[in-house]
Amino acid sequence: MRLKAQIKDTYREILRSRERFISILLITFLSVGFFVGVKATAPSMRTTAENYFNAASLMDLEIISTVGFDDGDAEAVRALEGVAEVMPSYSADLIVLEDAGNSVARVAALPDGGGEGTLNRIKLVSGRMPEKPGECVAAAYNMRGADVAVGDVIRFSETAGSAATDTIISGTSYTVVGLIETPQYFSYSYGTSSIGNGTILYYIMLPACEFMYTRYTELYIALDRAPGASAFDPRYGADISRTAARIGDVGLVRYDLFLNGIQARLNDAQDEFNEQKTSADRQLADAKLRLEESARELAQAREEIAAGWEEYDRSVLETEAGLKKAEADLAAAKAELAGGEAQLAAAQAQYDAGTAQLMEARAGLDSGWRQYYAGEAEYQRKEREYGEGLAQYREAREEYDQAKNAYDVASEAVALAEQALDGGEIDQAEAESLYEQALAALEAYENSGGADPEMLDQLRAQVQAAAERMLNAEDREAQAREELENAKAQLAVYDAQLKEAEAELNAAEQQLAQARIQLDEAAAQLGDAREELEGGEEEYAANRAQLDDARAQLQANRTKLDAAKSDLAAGEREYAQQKLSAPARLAEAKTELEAAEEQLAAGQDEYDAGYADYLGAAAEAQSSISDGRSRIQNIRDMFSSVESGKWYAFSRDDIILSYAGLDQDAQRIDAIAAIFPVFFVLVASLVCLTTMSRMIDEQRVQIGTYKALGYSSAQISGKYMVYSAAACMTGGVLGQLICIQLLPRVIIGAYSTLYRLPDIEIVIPWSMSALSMLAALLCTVMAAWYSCHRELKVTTAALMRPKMPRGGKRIFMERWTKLWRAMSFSQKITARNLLRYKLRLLMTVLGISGCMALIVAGLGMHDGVNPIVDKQYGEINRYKIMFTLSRDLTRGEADALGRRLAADGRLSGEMFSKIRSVDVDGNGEDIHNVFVFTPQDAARIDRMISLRSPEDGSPLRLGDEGVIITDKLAQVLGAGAGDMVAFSADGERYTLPVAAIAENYIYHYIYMSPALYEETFGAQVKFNTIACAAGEGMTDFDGFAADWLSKDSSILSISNVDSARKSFDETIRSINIIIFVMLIAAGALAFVVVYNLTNINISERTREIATIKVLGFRHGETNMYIFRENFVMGALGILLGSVIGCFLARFMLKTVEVDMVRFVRSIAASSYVYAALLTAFYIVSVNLLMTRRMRGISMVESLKAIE
Amino acid sequence: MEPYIVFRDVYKRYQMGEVTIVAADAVNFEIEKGEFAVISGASGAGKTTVLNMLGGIDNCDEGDIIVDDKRVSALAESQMIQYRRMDIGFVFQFYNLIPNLTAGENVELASQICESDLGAADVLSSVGLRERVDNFPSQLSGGEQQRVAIARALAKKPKLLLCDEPTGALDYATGKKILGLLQQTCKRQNMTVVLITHNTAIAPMANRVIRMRNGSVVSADINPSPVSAERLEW
Repeated sequence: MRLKAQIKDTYREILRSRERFISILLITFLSVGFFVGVKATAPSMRTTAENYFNAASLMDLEIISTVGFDDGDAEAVRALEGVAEVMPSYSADLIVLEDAGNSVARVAALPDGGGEGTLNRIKLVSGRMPEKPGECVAAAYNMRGADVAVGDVIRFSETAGSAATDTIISGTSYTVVGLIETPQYFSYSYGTSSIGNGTILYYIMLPACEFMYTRYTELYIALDRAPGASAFDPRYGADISRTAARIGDVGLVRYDLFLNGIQARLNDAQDEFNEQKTSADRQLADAKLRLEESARELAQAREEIAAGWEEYDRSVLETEAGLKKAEADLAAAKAELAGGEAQLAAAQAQYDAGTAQLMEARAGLDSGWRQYYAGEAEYQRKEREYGEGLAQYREAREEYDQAKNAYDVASEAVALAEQALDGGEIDQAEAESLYEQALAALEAYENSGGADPEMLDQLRAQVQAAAERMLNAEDREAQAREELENAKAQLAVYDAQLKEAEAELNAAEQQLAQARIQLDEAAAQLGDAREELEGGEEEYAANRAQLDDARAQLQANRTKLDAAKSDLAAGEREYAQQKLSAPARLAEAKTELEAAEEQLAAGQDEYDAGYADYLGAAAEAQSSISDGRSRIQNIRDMFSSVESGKWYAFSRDDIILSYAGLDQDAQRIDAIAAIFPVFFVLVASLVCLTTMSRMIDEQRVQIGTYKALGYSSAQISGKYMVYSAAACMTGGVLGQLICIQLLPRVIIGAYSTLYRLPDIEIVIPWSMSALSMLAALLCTVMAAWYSCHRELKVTTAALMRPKMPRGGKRIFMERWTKLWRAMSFSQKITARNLLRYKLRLLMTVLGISGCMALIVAGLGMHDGVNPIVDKQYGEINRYKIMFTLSRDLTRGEADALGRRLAADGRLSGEMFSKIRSVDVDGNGEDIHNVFVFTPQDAARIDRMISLRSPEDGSPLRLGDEGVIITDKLAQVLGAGAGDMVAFSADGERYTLPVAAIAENYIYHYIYMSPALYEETFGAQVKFNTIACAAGEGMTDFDGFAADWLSKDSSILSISNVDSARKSFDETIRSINIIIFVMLIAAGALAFVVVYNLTNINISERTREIATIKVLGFRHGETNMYIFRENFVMGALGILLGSVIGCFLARFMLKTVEVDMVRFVRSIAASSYVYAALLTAFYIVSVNLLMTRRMRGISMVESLKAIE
Repeated sequence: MEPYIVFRDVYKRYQMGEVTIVAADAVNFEIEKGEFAVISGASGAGKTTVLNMLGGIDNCDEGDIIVDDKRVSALAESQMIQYRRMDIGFVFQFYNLIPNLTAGENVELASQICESDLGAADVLSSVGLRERVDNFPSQLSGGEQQRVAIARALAKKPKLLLCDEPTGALDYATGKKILGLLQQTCKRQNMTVVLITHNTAIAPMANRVIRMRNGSVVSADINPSPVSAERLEW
């Protein structure tokens, strides 16, 4: 009854204080739920995978041998202990011809029947199984860009690596009739191949009968396993290695048997060979005989030819002698001819001399003639001069005549003038007489006394006129006289002139006469000279005729000589002809001989060939024998050396891609799951502790009452323990129920981009579930008990009294009086209150910092993951296009192709490189798929790949002194610059110094200079890839690829970096789901903590709040009185959370990091800002929610007595 | 002229489940300015309800409450806050000091929210606690704490000083001292003081004594000659 009452009391208590109950419930829900939910993820992932594998009977081991297997081998393995099932099968890698380049397909045999008992059972997704030849099924899930559909035709190349396709499978073209799922590949990758570009894009299955192999290529083995035993259990690994060892042993025996079989066959072959050899020997002997005969014939022919040669030599000698004689004759004729020629030359000389004399005479004549003509000219000139003188004379004569005329005229004029003078004198005399008459008349008249005046005047006028006439006559006389004088003067002048002219005329006459004489003399001289000359001329003509005769003679002689000469020439020609024809004849003879010799040689060759054949046949026979012997020897060697006779057993981890990765991913998720309790459990227990102690504080009096009534301490505390346990259990169970279903699905769903898994089967981690429940219970119940215990220690009476309110205290901050004074009143209150409840402060700050840290870690992961694709494919790999070559190109071939690539405007640069896949020796474990990258030109690698320091981004130089390794590889190896890196390639081990570490995010690379490559591998570097940068003209990549693939057969495939980038991007972003889960968790944590603590704060301080309300505080002021504390705690939490988040993000990035990927390690400042804003948002939201509660506090509370 | 405080037919009912409790049943009384009024009655007589309504802590359901011509009963919530803030000084039975604040700070808490504030130290010295300014409540005796509470109420220069059983938690001597302080304050500052108590022995010191029973005013007498607090005996 008592118990019943107590249960009832507890139940009522729960109803009464719902908020308190729910806060404990929620925090337990979150902490237990998240922890168990995330913890359930890894086992669920493993179980889902395992159930899938079990359902498909995935093999446990795959065995491979260099010589394949037969049914006997399979039986032997099946008989082994621990082996449940053996399935032999075929597989091979083939090249698929495609429009955009060639890809590699893994082709495997479909198990016969496909029924129960076979391993690696496939599931038909769509279509049907192959029914006729030429049909195949393909894996439905492929990497992006290699989608296969039913109805597609797969065409295989003629060759696959070094093998011909028709030695592997029967056809080259298969139609896809169905799509399947195979448990052997549950990631989206089919791994790598040694042929083609090394990446397997397709998985094709054919009926086993399509394979041309006579021996199986692999054995799939299933082990006996206890029901329910996990393949992820370490015991499974031990079973595997034990069975593998046993299989190895069987392998040795089977190998022996195999070799024995081979030897038996070899023995048979040898017998057969021996037989053949005998017959061959016989045939060889016959051939030998025939050969000897022909050798004899050949010898005879050789003799004949020798005789022929002798004759030939003789005729050569004869011909030579004849030629010599002809030569001598010719020489004599030549000499004669030379004599004739000399004579002719002498005659010619004489003739020439004569001619010269004649010419001289001629010249003399000519000069005589010239003199003559000169004289004649002189004569003629003189004659002309005489003519001229005559003319002059005549002229002078004329002049003289003229002068005479003039003189005559002048003398006439004188005469005239004298006449005129005479006439004048008469006039004068008449006038004088008239005057005298007139005067006389006048006198007369006067005297007459005539006094008539008129008569007087008339008389006087008459006198006057007469006087005048007399005076005129006088003048005219004077004038005439003057004229006479003048004429006389003139006449005198003319007279002088006449005389002069006369003198001149006489002189001229004299001269003329003299000239006449000279002229006549010259004429006589000329006549003499002419005669003389004409005589010379005659003589010359005579000489000339003589010379002409000589010339004719000479001409005749020359003609004769010329005839002789032409005779000689004819002789010489004949000789030359003979000389020429003689060798031709000889050559003919020689040719004949040589033909004969050739025939002989042919005969010899024939003979030789026969001989060689004979020898070859003999050698062949010999080599067959030695082959057989060496084969036997090989087998013996194998017998003696266990190593080479081994079977190789591969476990799931070794051979199934992502199988180990799945386990590692599961482990990573577990590691993340371990982070949750750190905050959640810590905060949860703190929340419980404060909640419970608050509750017990409140119920102090009640506890006292119970105690006073006689209840035992256990009974009293039991109530509170039950209360807390109930809250904790409810929250924990609810949390587990929900989170176990939810979280694994969300997280594993995120991995669906990496693994192709069937529907998730949730595995409840019972132990974890129980353990976490227990831990949560322990925390809450302990908290309840502790709080109760603390109260119950006090005496009952004291319990009945109200608890003394905790006194105010000076806080440390008040010691800095300056700071304290600078703070406002409300700030002081806040500071005091914060420090008054230290536990609450600690809890709130922890809770908020947990929230902040989770958000920072989440965003930090986002920062770490999301930029790597851009960094890798944008900043570090500068090339946009990658050519894979079908074979390694030498430098020369690469240069030639490079020039052609450079001419293509769609590209803006190319770099040939050698990429080799090697295994690096890590710390105890090999790191596969490390690429040794050797560029064409180490100095110019930065055109396509930016090698830079991960710390400061400074560019690195790829030198010959060591390799540059990528930072993730360096991190895994723990190696730095100056350390050594060891790797193995093609079974050889190499160790090289590390020169520097380069920034890189995806895959591991070892960058090696060409010189170092050659030094290391001891071979010229040949190129198998071309990295290209896209140019302006690159608009249609597919067209570009098709263009180049058709253009050059050495190009195997052309890939676009962007598509690789895209698919990687999608894969890596699956991590964002985890980030989302973390953000939700963070929000929930912040909410619960802040809500719960504010709640406690408010209920503890209800009286205070009521009091300040009574004092007249407004709503806002009242709210801030409490919430200011939350904001300060929030700020502190954000600060602390930033620091924790930084470490947490690093830890998580490291944990989540995939093998070949390096995440960015720095968290962006903006992530802190966002995280802080988000956290602040959560805090403010909670506070807004709490304002209602604040308003609801009644002021009447302030009046109540302290309980 | 209206009296300073008027309660006219004031009702207050509380619903407790199915039972309705009438805490104030047609309360009528008046108090003049500067009076020292004592409302006395047994527990549950409704005196605290009256005080709450007068102090703006609680609303009345019916009737008028008028303080200094202000109809307190008709005030909206924010006006009510303002009324509490500016016009009322409240002294609680359990002092209700903020334990985390020193005496001075507790006074400041009140003085900082109203306009006509007095210096915390001055107010404290007026209640005789000059030396205790920097002490926390837990370091003070009950009487001292109550003095701080009075100082806190006075710091706002209220129109009314409302005291809810101020001596209830104090011993006899201390209680008398507190009453003396209140009486002194009333006289010196002409402060209207309303004090509720179940202790009828306090009544003689009041100017006006209002007796209540079962939510109603039984009598409201004016005491023409109030005795000084020191002379009270109980």
